[in-house]
Amino acid sequence: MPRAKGPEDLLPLTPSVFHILVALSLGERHGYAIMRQVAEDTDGALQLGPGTLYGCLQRMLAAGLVEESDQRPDPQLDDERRRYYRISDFGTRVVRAEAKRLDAAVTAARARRLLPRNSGGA
Amino acid sequence: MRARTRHPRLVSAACRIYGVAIRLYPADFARAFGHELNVTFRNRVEDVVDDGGILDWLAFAGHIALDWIRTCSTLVAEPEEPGPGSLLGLSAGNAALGRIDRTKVDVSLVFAATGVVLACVGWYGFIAYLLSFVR
Repeated sequence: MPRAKGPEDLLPLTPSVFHILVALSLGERHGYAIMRQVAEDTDGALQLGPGTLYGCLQRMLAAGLVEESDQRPDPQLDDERRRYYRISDFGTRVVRAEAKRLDAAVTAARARRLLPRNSGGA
Repeated sequence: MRARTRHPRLVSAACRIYGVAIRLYPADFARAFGHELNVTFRNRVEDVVDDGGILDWLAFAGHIALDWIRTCSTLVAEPEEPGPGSLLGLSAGNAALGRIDRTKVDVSLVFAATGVVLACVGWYGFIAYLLSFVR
């Protein structure tokens, strides 16, 4: 994922990248907490494996979407060598742009009666 | 800190196997994320072993195997930083360090060898075609 000039340059995001950014929008997290948050947000539909997660994080770090957090929790509470990640300002702009794009797609689907008008579900 | 798992031997055996799989990832990725991969895998295994049944365990093993294959293929296929496109693969960064990128050189040599073989086959076919008229 190369460095982009604007948020739109990176769209559309893959589902994994989008959900990782959504998970990190709640605050900084380590890898396993991101995995659990993504599974919870998607009702278990998207289960990230460790390889997929860190492959995405590697590309997202390179693209400036996420940053490694300098702060470490109390070593008594967690493995101090564990890395924590947080969403960057650019990452926030990118995930907002992607959410807007998806919202427009859902609106178009509703207009064509592919989705019910008043609910997000089936 | 997480509570100790009820099946420490099983967890540690699974982690040892996954440790081998991590070593088979491309070296840069394994170096950068090896510890994280291991810790995350251990947490996931502990959850599956403690809370799930044999079917969950099998599904998890299949999921991890697929994840490894997918990640490996993505990492191997992923292009590196775009270089100046030198035939010998002397990218700007490596040239500055006075080093040759062996992987690019190897690929270039494979293409060159293939080209030579195809050229020989082509000339052989062309000459055989001409000779068929002479006869």
